[in-house]
Amino acid sequence: MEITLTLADKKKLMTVEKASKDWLRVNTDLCTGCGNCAIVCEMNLFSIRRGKARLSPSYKEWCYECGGCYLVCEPDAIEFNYPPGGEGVIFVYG
Amino acid sequence: MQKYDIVVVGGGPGGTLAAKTAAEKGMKVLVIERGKEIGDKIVSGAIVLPKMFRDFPFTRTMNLPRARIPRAGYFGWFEPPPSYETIYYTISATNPAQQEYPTQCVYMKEFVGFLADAAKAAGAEFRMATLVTDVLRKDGKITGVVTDKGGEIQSDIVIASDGVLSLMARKAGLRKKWDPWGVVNIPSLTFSAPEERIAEEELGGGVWTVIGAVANYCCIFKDGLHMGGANFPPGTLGSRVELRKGVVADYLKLLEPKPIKDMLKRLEAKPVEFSMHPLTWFDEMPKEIYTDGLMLVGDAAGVPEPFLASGIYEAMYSGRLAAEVAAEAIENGDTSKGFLKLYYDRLEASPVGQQFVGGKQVRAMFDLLLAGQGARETAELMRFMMALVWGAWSGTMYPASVTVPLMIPAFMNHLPIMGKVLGLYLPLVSPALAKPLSRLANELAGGMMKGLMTKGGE
Repeated sequence: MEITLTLADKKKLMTVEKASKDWLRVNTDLCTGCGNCAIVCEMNLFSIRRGKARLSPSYKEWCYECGGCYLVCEPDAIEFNYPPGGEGVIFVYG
Repeated sequence: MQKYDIVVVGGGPGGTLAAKTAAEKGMKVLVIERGKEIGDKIVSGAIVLPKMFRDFPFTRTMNLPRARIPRAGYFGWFEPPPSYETIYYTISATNPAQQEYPTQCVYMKEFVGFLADAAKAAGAEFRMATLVTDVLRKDGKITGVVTDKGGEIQSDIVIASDGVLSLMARKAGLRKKWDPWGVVNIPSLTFSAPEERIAEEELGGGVWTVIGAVANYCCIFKDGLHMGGANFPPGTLGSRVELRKGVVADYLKLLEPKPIKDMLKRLEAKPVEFSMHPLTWFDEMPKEIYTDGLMLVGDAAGVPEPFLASGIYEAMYSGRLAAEVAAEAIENGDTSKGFLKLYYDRLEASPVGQQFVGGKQVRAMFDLLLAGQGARETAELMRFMMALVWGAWSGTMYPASVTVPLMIPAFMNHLPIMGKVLGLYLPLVSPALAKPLSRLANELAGGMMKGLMTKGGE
């Protein structure tokens, strides 16, 4: 059995209740474009464009809420809160 | 405004134990959990060890429908790809002392559900699907919480068990975030498998596989299994960023060695869920874990132990302790930082704090040994050391009446011997490794023992 974890595989293997409002953002005034967030995000939700990190607009559907991006952001440009109560990722098996 | 004696933020192992303990002491307790159901936000199937059953007697009656008692623990060491040659392989039979309260592999969701039921039975209230967004303050002291459902809730004390990313720690001004060099991010896959296949499985238990600096832990349940990819400390988020490389590619390599592939095939295992979650892995117990009117417990307090970074027992223990101190503080009419220092002091003296004795040396050993990952010498040395560690780990539970708990003290007790054996081993290793290893050998055989005798010893 070959196990792969492509982006499509990961999406199939997760359950998310899309958040009703934004809860994660990049403060582009502080962002230095270092790309740390893009390295640790396993859902490829960050890209670097014109020297700044850009968060995918579909993050509310595909974020594990692991907070890796927040922890590795040296200039503290990532504002990580949480989705509203009852929304966001759901771990069915746990 | 609603008023409680104690508000607990987060309904995981730390929060539920805090709530249960406080309710049993007659406190009016509210648990606020952001998930719709208990366990919605918790991952990583877990191996609960005898020490939990020993120190939390109410768990001895736990009978989770899908939990499983493993027949054995298993360690596999593999050469790095492409060879994946198995270089070490051991099965430790469950020893007699462990049979009293055998280790169990549990789905976290089911396990935390059990803990939450115990808290509810004791009288704790739960409010679900509610995010705590801020703390309430009066004269600088924390006096409650604000939720996203519009409510302010007052309490004499807030116990925050809201995980590695703890919003409460931020709002309370205790820290902005943990140092990424102290946090690993763990990928994990849950597989489903037919019960008959699992019943036939010989290994059937807690399985560890290691390649270089990355490791994989496995728990096998009645109807499935869980494979978590644990980086050893050199694989923290900090080092991942320095390597400019994510963790999942390394994690997948852990599933490739033949024994693992064969096991998944025998079990007819099918992936059903994937997750990422952060885990603190510190070499010292954090100090900033309490302030006026608030205490942090579990991962929010950074208490997972420094050897394998297991954190469930630690969350439960710190949760219970925080609730005990909270009840005393309320009784004394003093919920100040000065009084709550009692929580820190007791935690430091408890089995949780004692596990950090020698944490720095454990960390140094990991860093040093795994720095040369892929080197045959390193792998051979690791297998030897891990065999000792494995022995030490079983040893701590044997006999069960031994109160100096848990694996770290036992592991540390072996270090002087390991240091001596390392000295014998030195002539065999490559010159590049010989220098740092001889330094380690001297440290192990020398001064460290003093600290242990005064701090951890009887």
